[in-house]
Amino acid sequence: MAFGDLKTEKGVNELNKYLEDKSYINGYQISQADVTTFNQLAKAPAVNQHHALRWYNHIKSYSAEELKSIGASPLAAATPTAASAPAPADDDDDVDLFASDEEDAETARIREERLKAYSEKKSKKPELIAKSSVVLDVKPWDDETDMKAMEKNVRTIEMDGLLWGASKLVPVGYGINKLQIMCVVEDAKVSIDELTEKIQEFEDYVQSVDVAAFNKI
Amino acid sequence: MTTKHSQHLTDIAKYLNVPLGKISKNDQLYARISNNKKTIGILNIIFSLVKDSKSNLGGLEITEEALIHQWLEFGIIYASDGNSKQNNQTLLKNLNNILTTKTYLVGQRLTIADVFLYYSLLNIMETLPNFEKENYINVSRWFDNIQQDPSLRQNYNLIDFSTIYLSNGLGKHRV
Repeated sequence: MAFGDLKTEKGVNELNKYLEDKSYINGYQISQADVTTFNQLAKAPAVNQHHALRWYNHIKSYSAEELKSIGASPLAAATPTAASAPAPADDDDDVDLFASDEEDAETARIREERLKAYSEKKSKKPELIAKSSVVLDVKPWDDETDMKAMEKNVRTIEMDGLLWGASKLVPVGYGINKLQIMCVVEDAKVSIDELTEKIQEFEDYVQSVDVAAFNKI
Repeated sequence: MTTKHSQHLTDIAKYLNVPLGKISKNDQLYARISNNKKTIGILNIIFSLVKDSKSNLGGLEITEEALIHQWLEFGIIYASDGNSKQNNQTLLKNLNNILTTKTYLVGQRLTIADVFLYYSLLNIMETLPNFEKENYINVSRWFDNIQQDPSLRQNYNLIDFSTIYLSNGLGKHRV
């Protein structure tokens, strides 16, 4: 693979274009071709040559041992001019060089904080919050009760930590059906007693509510 | 709205070459039972699979692990459900921006985040017209690279990204 003179802007631009839809120079893993091309570069690609820069940073991340294990030669002594500063290079704007340090400290601090929050969160709840899956039997007054309306009403109940699930009608005899409805509740937030009471408040439809099944998840 | 998470879990277990154990779904919650241990929640299940496989796909240190965690959450929330077309566009656009500077999602190597997102995006990418693939060139490049591993792709089709050459004249630059 040749891209003209990679020491020139034009050559790097071609490389950039070539890498637009590729992660590596050849095929789908790192190979000698990547190393060779890398070593031909005079410096890191500019920020606006982002495909080339992305590739450059990726190749740079390989250690000499890793490269050896794929049978490639090592990277040229980390192209001193740009190794640690792949960023501005010849980017136009007047960057305040002293500000960047501060910014790095700031981002580092934020990252630290987030990491801390993450490990705290992780140690606090290795598993999910205790939840239960509940099946409720809702019984109507008689065979003339509008079951659809009843279900609609039941589903209007909203509580923090309550999630309605599937429901079905189960015949109980004499043409009367009862509504079996499933829900998932967070144990700490929802009391089943309170929930059944709330359902029974739809007096026009509901005669009684029973808990048919109760499972801890 | 159908989630294909159970399929993703099966695929991941197969890729990692670990027994999936028993997966059940109770309402919205997936649970995995393996070796008498119960794991609840997709995220936890994925991490438990990775742990079983003893691979380093789960991240080598806590920064990586946290990032992977975030990507998995991202995948679960934005990429898995029967999304509307508009949602998918937003998803691809965001992903495309992020992948501008990245070869892999986390760090400089393949992680479980890439694997999970590959499975999650399969359907979207498969139905994406070619000119759109070009719009999301970074996603396409990333996806194309990920899908080359046969053990990861399993029985899924290799999605074709090659027409990209024809339309942007890249061909003439190849020497």
